[in-house]
Amino acid sequence: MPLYSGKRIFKATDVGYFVKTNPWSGDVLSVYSSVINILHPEEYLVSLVMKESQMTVFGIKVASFFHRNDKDPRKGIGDIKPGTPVRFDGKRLVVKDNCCDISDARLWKGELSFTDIKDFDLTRVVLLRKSLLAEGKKGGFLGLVHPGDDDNMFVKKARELLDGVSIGSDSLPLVKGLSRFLGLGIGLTPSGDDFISGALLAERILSLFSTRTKKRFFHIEREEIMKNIEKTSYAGKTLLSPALHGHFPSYLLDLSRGLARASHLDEMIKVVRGVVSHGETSGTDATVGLSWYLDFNFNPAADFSVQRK
Amino acid sequence: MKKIVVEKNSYYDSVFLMLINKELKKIPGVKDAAISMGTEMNVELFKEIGFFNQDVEGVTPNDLIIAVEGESEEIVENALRSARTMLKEKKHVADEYGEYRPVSLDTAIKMVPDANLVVISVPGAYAVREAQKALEKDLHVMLFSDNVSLEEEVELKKLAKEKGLLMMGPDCGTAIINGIPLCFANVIRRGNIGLVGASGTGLQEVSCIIHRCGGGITHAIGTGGRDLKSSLVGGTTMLMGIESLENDPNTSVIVVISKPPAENVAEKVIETLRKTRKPCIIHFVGLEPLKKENNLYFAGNLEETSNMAVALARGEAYEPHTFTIPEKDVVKIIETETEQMSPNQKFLRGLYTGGTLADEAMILFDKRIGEIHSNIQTKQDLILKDPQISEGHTIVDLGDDTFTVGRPHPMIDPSTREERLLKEMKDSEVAVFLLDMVLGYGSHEDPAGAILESLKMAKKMAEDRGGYLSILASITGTEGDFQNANEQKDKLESIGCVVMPSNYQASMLAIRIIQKLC
Repeated sequence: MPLYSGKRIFKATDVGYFVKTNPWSGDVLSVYSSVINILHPEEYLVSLVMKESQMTVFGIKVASFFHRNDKDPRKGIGDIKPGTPVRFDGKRLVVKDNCCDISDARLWKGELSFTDIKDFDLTRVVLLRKSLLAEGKKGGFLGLVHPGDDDNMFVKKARELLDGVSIGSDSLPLVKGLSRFLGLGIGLTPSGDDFISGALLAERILSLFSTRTKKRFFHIEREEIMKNIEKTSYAGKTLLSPALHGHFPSYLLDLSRGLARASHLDEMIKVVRGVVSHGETSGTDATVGLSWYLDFNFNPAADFSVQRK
Repeated sequence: MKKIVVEKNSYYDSVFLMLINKELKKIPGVKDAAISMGTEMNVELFKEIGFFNQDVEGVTPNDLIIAVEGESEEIVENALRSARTMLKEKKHVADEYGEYRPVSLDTAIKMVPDANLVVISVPGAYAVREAQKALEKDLHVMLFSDNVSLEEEVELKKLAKEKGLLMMGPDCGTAIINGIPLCFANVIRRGNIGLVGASGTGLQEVSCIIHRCGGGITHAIGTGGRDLKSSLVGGTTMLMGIESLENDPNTSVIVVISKPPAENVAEKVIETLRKTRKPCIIHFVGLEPLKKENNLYFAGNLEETSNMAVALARGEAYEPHTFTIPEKDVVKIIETETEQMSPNQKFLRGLYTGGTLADEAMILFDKRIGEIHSNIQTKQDLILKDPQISEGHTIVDLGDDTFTVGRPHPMIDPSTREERLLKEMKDSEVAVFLLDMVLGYGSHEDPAGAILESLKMAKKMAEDRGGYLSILASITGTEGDFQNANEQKDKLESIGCVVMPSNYQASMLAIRIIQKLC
């Protein structure tokens, strides 16, 4: 019996690098107007998305799936609910009567290249912090940038953890203690995970930047984070596992490109405004992580109350 | 008193969790509250600050923890009960309909208790009932649905007026309220220009040009197409919109846009604007602009409307123009676009997704070239006999009901235009394609990219026949739209399309090219 016997076939245009092509079955976890999250048996989230800006390496971009039936694109996915079973045969993902065919889709890798950040320089660090103060959303880790403001219990804990961050004595100078952020804070993707993803992104930017400038920077304790990855939620794992290997979601790639390009405050504000609109506080928390990591490397006097030990 | 409870295997989006968090903190007597995933780190933190019970022992990172600290046990219990009720309702809605769609207006209000505006998009038969319910609950309404009778519209607007609420629609597809784009709208800078319009793509085009000129808007209030057309509706929403912009301290210039209104309604609108203390710009698409009088300025096209608004908002004089590029460059474009055309190429084909943009182009052609066929023509003899087949010079509004039966609007689904392009490219007499690209929320994610191959093919077919196909386009969008107007422009230009800064300029260029060919 063929896997697919339904009526509607939707051609995916992009498929994430981490979407495994062996057959699996899962369940729909949540449905939004332009994203459907599916729980993979290995406990990460595969997402069907409408737009490029929503892509991740666990994503499948299939715009036509969301654009159908009538003027209101939301009406087209009305029969898919949390708990709806999903099957995948390696090429086609079937949910209810719908089949998303990934056989001709481009591979979406979510990687940052030198061209993306070629204009980056250290003046961006201060601009980023100022923009974050102006545009960041409260509720997550924004209080780390602005002590005294929005000091929720998670921010207090995060500040305590940052005080414990140290530089290891290994030959490769490692920043130690970031793994303690795993799973800390509010949100389906806990703020701590977003913070780490921002730091990993900053590390990647600096690693590309150093190919031109030979500027030295600290590295992040990847192995420790990977070892403890099960301590966070499905959503957190879905974000961090690829980020540890240099693969980031589209909104963080946009943040990096914008960061590199924005040479004036108003330009940087636009960039930050774009990223903080992602999730409730996810975009803000990732930008806080990015800003912290850049400051940690280049501006020890910054107000993150971090002591280098 | 501190208490913590666990909801096993619970999956709620962060926006909703944050909302419950805020609601709990608002309850009198609640000192602190937090809802988070049951990760090891969060459990450790809760323990540290004195929240702990047996349930927390077996918690996993995919369970939800609700922690509340209050002045008494009763307060804490009440708060936890409220949290569970909100989660249960949300789960019921999600199970039933998916996360995005509350089951009823009541559920939606419970989910977002601070909301004061509701967007309604349900089939026409139910739309009136839902809009009425919303108005009775003191909510402003944006009614996206159409198929609402004239009598029902009059009744709804009467009720809204009595309650001092805005009733945008029916068939209202565009609005920007306090910087928030609703339905089909663009990312526009905040500023001091207030718009009220009975035309969706008209509002989009004007707001986008304002943005591109460095200006910004306070609000763009949609009225629905019939608000000014019908004497019975009498411009109720338009008049209330003008009043609200007059009373808005952040609005210093008022812009009114509409397709040709009923005569008595137009008089009422002008009279109301005359009484305001702010400069007002009026553009009735298709009507000759009147002479300036006191605070009233009349614009002749959508671009002029925007330019006048920006100039007035800055206290500068408005300089009229047709093209923003020097005349010698216009002449050069015309030469380049026509020099390789074969002698039999002479016709224009305008393939539009935006209704008002199609109207504007058609009216400009009508005045300057004369015989222009269309599915939206008001002149009986020039209405296309079959909307699917062009005749001579033709402009089609592909968003018209004829083309959208059983399929999405072409702003969402470019295949309607692509199919039409395939038909048109077979006609060896076609000289110019005139296109709009409407970006923004609701529109297709890459309208230019989606038809690029077809446009390339069309150019190639013309070349193979020994001619040249000129493709002129304008983009209604901004660099802030998720499709990014600059990237859309680059894509079109990469295959040799001429992209003009507005629909007006694209249409005027097309007219000049056709005039040269005639």
